[in-house]
Amino acid sequence: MQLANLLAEHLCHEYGDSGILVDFTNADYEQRWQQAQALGTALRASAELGIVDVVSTYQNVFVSFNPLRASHKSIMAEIELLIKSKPALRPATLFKIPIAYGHDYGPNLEFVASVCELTPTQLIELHSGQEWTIRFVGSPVGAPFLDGPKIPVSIPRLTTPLARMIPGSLGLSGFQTIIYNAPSPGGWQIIGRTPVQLFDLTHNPPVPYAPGDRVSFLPISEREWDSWNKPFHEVRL
Amino acid sequence: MEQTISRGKTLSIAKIQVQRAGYVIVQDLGRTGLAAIGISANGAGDQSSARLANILVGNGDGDALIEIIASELVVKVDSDLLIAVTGAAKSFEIDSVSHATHETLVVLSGSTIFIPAPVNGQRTYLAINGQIQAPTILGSVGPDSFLDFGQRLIGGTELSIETHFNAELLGSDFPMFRFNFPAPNHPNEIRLLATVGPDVDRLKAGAAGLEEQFTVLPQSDHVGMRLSGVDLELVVAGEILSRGVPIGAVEVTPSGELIILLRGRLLTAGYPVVAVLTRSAIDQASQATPGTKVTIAVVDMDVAQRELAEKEHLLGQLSVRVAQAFSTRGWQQLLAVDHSSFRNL
Repeated sequence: MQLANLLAEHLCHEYGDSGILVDFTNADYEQRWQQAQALGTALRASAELGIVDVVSTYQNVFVSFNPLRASHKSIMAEIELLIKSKPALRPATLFKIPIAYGHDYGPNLEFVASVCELTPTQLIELHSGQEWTIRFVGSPVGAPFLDGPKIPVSIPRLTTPLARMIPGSLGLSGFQTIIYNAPSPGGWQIIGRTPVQLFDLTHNPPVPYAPGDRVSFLPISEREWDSWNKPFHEVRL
Repeated sequence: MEQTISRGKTLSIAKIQVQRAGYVIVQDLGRTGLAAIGISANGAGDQSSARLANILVGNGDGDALIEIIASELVVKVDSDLLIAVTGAAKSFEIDSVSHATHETLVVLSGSTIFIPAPVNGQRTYLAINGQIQAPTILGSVGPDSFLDFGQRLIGGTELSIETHFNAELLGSDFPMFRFNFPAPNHPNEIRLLATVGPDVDRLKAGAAGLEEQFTVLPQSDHVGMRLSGVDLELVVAGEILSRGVPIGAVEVTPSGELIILLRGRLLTAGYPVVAVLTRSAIDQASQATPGTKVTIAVVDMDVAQRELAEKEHLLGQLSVRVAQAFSTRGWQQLLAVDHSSFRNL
């Protein structure tokens, strides 16, 4: 058992002329995610010449590199070195993010509830009653990708993706939830919206959270919207 | 020391007035290294043409320049400028006199530059020696629709350029440059080189399935190129959890359509990636207009890398030749300190 933990099972794929995709294959989802995040953190801090960017997600790490300064071989060697060094995740912080569920804020709440064979109120209780984990921060601009609570069924995507999400929209798809911080296209079912601006470039860092942090959603009424409608660093989350 | 003094003396702010503009933006090579906060790369669609334009005027290859997309641009200049036009346009006019693109040119104060909409291809670049004054976010002037950021040029826009170029540098013999760098073609049938992607096994026909002819659909944009044509059959296999996707990723949707991710792509996706375009194929793809016929040729990694090394060698050689030509004329101050930084590659 100990041995299996020491040797992180993974595959490295060439991913274009200047990229590598690492795929963690441990049977345990939590393990795969931890390994991917730990490797991502280590690669970002790595002094290895030529690393351009690192995207670490549920069980993968995508490394892009400058092909004039590095090669698949040199980056893969660095990856093997860092996997052996077992870097740790930072301690988790808990955020409480206010959400106005349903109505105009969450036009797909009723549909998602019916897919789950729940009432809208029961779905809100399920969604806001337990803690979620931020698995990674991705696009559009600082979107938190979360999972955790047991959603009864895998939620299908919108049949026609929206061309322009309203910023703050809370999406649900599969067993994951996401907040769209920007008016990007998107295909997730929208069940609510946060009045808090979670991405603010005038602040460093521009998002308050990082992978591994925990989130619980706080249902709020329409009346409370305005008091929360501020950048994240001006409210207490 | 003397050079520092002379640089200080000659630095000036030139201005250009936009008279007519289609879809024209201030651009550079985009933002990289920001995946941790979910920022897409964006930047010039045809990166090698953008770099080439800057190299031809002595700038750093990642400096700000003007990108003209599938349309035209007319500007009046109020100072003497050193410019280069690259990319899709085959020729352009200075005061109604036609000039070849892909060369370094002097434009005199009071002249009007007319860059026509291209016949083939869709992205033309105008680089000007010096620094275009434009706001930046996270180190780039490049537009990002998710950040609601970017500077678009319209009729009436005035753009300032901090430059060391001026009339005193011209002397009696009007400078003519002939760098003869080959101008790329943008035919309406293209073959894009790619290397195999991690999910190629999910294609029933394997990589060979990509050798079919596809057509660029009008829904294509800087986020992705959509291709129609033969429906590709996928092997039934498990769900792919969202993961980082490279620019140039060739994705197959559940309905068998092909999407090629371009520079404005979201950082993560969960479709099978069956191939990844080479860097120069990504540039080619960004030039392809709707209706262009496309085949994707999967080659070995060493072929892709050799091609990349050759292209970089040519650009590097050119920047040395530009530096030599400028130095011969006593124009050292026009050269960016690091004119071959390749910082965004």
